Amino acid sequence: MADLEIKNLHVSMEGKEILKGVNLEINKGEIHALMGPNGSGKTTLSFVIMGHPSYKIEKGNIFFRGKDITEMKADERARLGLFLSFQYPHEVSGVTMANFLRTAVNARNNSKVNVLEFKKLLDEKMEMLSMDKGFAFRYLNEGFSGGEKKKAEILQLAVLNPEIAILDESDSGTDVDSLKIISEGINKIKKESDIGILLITHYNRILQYVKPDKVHILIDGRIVKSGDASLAHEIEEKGYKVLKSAA
Amino acid sequence: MELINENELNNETLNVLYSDEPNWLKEHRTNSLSMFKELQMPEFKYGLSIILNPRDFNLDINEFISSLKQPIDIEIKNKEKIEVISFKENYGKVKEYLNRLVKYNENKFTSFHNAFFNNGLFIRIPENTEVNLPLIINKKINQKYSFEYVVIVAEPFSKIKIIENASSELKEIFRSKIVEVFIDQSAKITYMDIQDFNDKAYSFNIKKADVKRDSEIKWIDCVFGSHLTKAETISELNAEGANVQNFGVFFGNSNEQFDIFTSAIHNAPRTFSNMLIKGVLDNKSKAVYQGLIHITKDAPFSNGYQKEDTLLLSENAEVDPIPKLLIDNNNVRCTHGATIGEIDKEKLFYLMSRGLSEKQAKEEFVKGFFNPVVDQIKEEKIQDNLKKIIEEKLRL
Ligand SMILES: Nc1ncnc2c1ncn2[C@@H]1O[C@H](COP(=O)(O)OP(=O)(O)O)[C@@H](O)[C@H]1O
Ligand SMILES: [Mg+2]
Repeated sequence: MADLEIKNLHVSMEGKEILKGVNLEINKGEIHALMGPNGSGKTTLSFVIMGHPSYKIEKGNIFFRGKDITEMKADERARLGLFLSFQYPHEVSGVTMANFLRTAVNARNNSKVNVLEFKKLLDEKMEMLSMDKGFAFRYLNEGFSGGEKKKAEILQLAVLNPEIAILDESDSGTDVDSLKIISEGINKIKKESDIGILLITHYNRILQYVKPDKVHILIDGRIVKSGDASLAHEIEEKGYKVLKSAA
Repeated sequence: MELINENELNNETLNVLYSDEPNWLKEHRTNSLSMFKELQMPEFKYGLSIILNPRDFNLDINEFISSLKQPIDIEIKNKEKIEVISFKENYGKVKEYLNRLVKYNENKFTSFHNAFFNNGLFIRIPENTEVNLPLIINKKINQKYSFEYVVIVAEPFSKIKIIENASSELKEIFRSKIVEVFIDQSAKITYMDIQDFNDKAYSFNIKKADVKRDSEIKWIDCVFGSHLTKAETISELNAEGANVQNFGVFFGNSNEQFDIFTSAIHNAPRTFSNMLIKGVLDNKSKAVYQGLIHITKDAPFSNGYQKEDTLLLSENAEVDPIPKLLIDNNNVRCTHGATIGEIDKEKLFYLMSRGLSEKQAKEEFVKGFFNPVVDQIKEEKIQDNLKKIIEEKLRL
């Protein structure tokens, strides 16, 4: 059984069916790209995998290392080793990055990290992402630019060290320099910890830097085609239209 | 409904308690007592929805007398460079200040207070004295009744931070406090007031400052406990360049009822006021917050800002924010606003996706919410202490 397994997932929101039978398997060490037009259900899938309480699962299951986590709360999933980098990270006023991340690391590991050790870890990861040290003392995402928010998500990924990470459009809203730094960061984390990644992208920009093992195309709540990296190039050239007829 | 059963209180009570005081003070107490009997109990009714319910506070005369005879337990730290005395040590010194800002006949509680106050503290910061370590006043109120009077005189160019911590091990207490602050030119005073009583306590608290030329009062009011708190913080900006920074937090998590009023009265040109009050209400706690900035016709080129934010953590918690601006002068700049919010579910999911339990995530929000006020406290130890009170209350 794969580390993360999604089986025949049907999801609705306010009576509207968004995901219409999604199947997906991701193992540690693999990079899967998930592409699809706006509104096809990419973010919905990422939220449901992470345990967002507002979506209704009509049918199907999510397994993490053989364990059915379909009903599990988000925090429990995080502690098992799932991570989601948000397409639109939220601003949380008054909570500094450093304090928040320390609380999160403690929750993730169910132990208390030594303050100095944590500071070292945070400094190291911030340096990897070319982030100014001052970020640690800023309030979570408050007043961050688009690129800074996405970098901060990858910083959280680096510090929390999950098993499987879903990265929802880490490339959107960033300038070219940030995109490079983010991509390099992802590659490095992947290399160091051998995590599995579901890389959601709308523009494919990030696929120049982060090479997927597999590519899946999501259209109207269904994965209509899966293939290797060449599928992404095909989409880039011809657009989603050719596949829509298949949907 | 009667909050205090007042029939048993009379001049004889005063005699028993205060016979050895100077005549002017005895007379002041007698006048205050008759005013107390005359005045009506205010109604704790606000707007359409909120009625605060003072339970009957059954006054037992013997208990009243015995608790007033026994002064509260006060610990004072870092008073080396300033004068800190109890009223008893020098009534003469106190006389010219007493009742100048908060009058005995303002309302039933001020008259009650003036008739019976039994703890008086006089603090004088001499001219040109800048005190770096904050003056710490720790009060343990372990008697059922306590009436505390604090007079602070800041002479020109003086500077100090005063931090008063009040707590009680008794459940049912009646605590009244009046603070009068006189700030002479170019002096800077910070007064931080922390109240963390049990949920059956009554707390009546009035603080008023007379702020002179180029001087500043910074209030940091922290209201954490009680069955009913009525707290007023008033700053009179009486000379050019006077400035008030009025910060406050309140936090109820059971049945607390808070009636909070902050006001800045601009009586002179180029005066400045800034108010920021942050409240969190959980379970059945309630609050009425009234903020007033009054810019009189004598106060051109003045600025006034006020903001009140409340975070409601339960469906049964209630708040009624009433921000007010009264402007009698055109050459001024003022803004005001109030927000009432709940914890955003999407943000909660965001924090939980990082491994924080729902409770932990909520705690982070509340701490973050209070932070703009908590950050005003620069002394690490005092800030930590405040954070600890908040965290302990969050765990309940
Ligand atoms: N919270 C929501 N409320 C109502 N509709 C939603 C909500 N979230 C997503 N949808 C709908 O679900 C569909 C898929 O959205 P989404 O998952 O965000 O797509 P993508 O990430 O691929 O752009 C869209 O039609 C969108 O309008
Ligand atoms: Mg999306």
